[in-house]
Amino acid sequence: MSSFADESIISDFVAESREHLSSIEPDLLAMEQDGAAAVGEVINRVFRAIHSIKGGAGFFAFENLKRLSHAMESVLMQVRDGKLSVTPAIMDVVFGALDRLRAMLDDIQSSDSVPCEKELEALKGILDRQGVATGKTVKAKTKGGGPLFDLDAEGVRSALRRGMTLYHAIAYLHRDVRDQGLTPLAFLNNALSVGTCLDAFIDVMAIADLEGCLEQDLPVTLLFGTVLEPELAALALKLPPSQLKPLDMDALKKSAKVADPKKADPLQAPEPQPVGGTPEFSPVPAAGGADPAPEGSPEEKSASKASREAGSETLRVRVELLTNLMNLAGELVLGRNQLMLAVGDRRRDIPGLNGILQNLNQVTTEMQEGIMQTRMQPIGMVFSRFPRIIRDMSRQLAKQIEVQIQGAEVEMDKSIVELLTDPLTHIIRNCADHAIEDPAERRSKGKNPTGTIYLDAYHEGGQVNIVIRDDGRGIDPKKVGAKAVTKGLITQAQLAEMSEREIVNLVFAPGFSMAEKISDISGRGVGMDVVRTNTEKLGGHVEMESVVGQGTTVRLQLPLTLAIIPSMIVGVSNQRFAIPQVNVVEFVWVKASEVRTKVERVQGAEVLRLRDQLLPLVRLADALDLPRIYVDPDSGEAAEDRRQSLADRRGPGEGKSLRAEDRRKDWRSDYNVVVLRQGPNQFGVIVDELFDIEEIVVKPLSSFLHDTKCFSGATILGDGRVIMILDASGLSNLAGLHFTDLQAEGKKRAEKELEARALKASRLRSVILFKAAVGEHFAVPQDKVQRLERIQAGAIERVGDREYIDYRGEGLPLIRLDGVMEVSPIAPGTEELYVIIPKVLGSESPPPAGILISTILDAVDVEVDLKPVEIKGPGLLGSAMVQDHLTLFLDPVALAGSAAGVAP
Amino acid sequence: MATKPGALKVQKSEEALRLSPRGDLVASTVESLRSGMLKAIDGAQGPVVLDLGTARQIDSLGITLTLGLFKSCQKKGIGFSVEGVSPDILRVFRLFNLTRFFPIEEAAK
Repeated sequence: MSSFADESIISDFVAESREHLSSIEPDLLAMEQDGAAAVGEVINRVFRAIHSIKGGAGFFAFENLKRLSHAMESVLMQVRDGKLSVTPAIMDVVFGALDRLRAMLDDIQSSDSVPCEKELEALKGILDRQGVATGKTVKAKTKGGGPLFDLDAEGVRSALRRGMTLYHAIAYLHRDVRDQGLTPLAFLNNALSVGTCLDAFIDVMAIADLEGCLEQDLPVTLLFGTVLEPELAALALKLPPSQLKPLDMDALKKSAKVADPKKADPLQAPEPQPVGGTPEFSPVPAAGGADPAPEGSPEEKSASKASREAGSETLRVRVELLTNLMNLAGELVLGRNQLMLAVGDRRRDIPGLNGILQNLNQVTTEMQEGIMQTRMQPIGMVFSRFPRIIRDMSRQLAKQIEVQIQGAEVEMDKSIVELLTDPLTHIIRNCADHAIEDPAERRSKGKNPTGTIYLDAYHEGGQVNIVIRDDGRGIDPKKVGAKAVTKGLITQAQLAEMSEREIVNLVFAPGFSMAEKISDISGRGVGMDVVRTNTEKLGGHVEMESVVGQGTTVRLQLPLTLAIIPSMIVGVSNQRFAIPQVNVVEFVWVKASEVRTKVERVQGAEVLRLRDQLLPLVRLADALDLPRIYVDPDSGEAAEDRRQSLADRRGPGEGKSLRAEDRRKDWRSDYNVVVLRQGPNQFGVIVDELFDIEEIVVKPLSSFLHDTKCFSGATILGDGRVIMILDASGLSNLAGLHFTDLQAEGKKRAEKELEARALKASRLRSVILFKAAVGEHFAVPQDKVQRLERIQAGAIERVGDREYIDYRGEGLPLIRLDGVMEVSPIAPGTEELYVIIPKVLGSESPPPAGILISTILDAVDVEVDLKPVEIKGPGLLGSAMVQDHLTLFLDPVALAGSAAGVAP
Repeated sequence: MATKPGALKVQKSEEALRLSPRGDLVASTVESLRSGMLKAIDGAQGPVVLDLGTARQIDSLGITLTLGLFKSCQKKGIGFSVEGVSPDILRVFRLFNLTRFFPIEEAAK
């Protein structure tokens, strides 16, 4: 590399080159898709980008980068000129080279040690088939005179610049390769591991024909460059020293016009040129073609002009600088908050101060938002990788897959966008590998042979949602469940208690994999676990749902930025903590009087019953090893709370004035529970106080605190107080929560409760209590009574020994209880009476009879177990104690029906 | 039909004589392949295509055999090409610059 090259200029070159590579990848995909119909501008854009990288690489003397981009440029030139048709095989080579360029840019200073021979060979192979010479040649011969060779000038210069000595080596295919236990490929790979191969050829003339060829030991000539001395080079190549001869280096240097690097004077280095300018070496193709994009060509000038125009609108800024500005903006926000708090109500005491403070407040907010905006990048930066990945995988797996992207413009903080790359790549690769079926299978299912992976990003509730959906085979919960049991992740009993959605989400468990065998693509069982871990590290969460045969959807919910996050401020033991809002599901206020019904115990641990779910409870004070504080309801004084159980309502000391019942109802004994989300699970955290939701500026933890897994950072409140930010996952781990056991237990208890409710419902009766005679109590179920009629004794008419009343224009027979069972009669002379009209189920006909009684006592719900009675009579259900009286339960329908049946 | 390693499938058509060895071109298969090839090209007048679609490896003898076949075709004045070449074999052919002598076509992925 040129010694004068300033680090920042190289850094700019790398950044610019990366942008070129990112921008041309979609263009290359379009070229492959459209073939000959590809728009000329698309091809030119790709061509210009590669040419620009080559120019910069030449200027900074990054040899590998230059050689590879030069070869790519030559191939693209063939495409541009219509001499080469784009095929998937050619694009494989171009994409492979593109990836290699990217790898070189990732560590530009070591780019010359990034192997790229394979890519160069492949590109050269394309050009060979096109009959294009890849560069001009120089003559070489061995020392002391020997046969002359034509070597690629570019390759020779590159080797010489790296201080290599060039050798002429001869290896015999049988003696030096086969007999050494090597394949030709292994032999060549070994050679390439210690140097560079400028040329190699087999002496084909040594073979006559097929007849006697196998007995012939063919010599292979290698023109080989390495930094090793002759003896070591022979040893490395596993050849006898006599078969390795150095080339005449002085003659070669003259021929190649390369100065001795050892004698090079840094002051004589080439003049600095702008990035993208003319490369140091621009070999003229031997085939007589022009340089792919000669300096000053119209298209080049046009590109430069566009670049200049764009340059006036944008400015490249180091991320580090933005990060510093972001931190300073955070400090400024804190300063503003502190100032506002300190000035408080006195702001109106000084004339004009209020306006100044309002202005300061406004400007600070806008500046903070503006600086945050500078770090925002579109999620499309990650999404744009996937068409290429899917394209490569489709070819590898012989599947037809397309990607549809929406919401690429949605912006998130740069750090999140970068950290999202791995999780999203895992998901996308899984979609292509496992979810999307091959075309034949899709056709047999009546699906489009081309599977689709949809990527969508959108804002919702101050967060960014990313949805990855495919229309593949879906995930069968039965198979996932069976696999999870086989791998020992859950027990069969636990599986039986899980919902299909919960089972599907087991794919996020560490070590889970559905793949039968490990492939290059997937199957090691680390992918989806990494997805969840990384997403949660970013303060987000991920979940999956799937429909067998229709496809799978993975949803990621993430914060916009990691630097400033909305958080709930909570208090415990007179200390405050921040909980990121993304982790907060809800707040539950457990009244002191409800503790006994809402807090249960499972395996000795306290759990909160919330809408038929059992959530593990963590007392924040206990988890953080802080002394629990109890506020005395009488004195209001704080003291250490030594109670072990939440249900324990006793005060901390003796001599309390409040009775137990009063304490249970006192609001100071209420509990505040913050329900937090951890992956698919939830748990409750008991805190003393809930404050407000604040936008907090996240400060990284000091290295001294890195081992405290329950904190993810720290922040400074408006009053200058430094508080810790709680990490939901870390807190859950610290408390040793076991969710699977609890879910199973929760379901068991819910089922038991349901049974109990059903049993209770079977015992619960709504009845009408009445008397016929003094001292004897009766009850009839309300649902069997149509009406209660109040009548006067005079309204009863007698026909023989039967009694009737007029009921809706008809004669309704009356039954006296003492007439059908052994009970006391209604007291004679009772003027006001009642008639129970039984309900006639499923019929419009009038009731068969009414039951005459003397007094209605009440209509109540009673929970009773009826006992048999010794008295005999129609419609007698049994007896039970109701309101401290033995009460006979009657079925009025059966009673009336029975009496009517015996009536004439 | 060629079924075991070392067997040679021979297909004659108007365009070419296609020779498809079964499996790799290695020491254990070259001898029988050579016999088959000798018989197949005896009297051949059109171009010969060596189809390496089922070969994943080639050793020194395999390269020698390929070159022997090429030379025999050259002697007869008929064309010779190699098709269906796996990436590894293609790499060897390219590194040895065999593309200078006859067309080599990579296997479709």
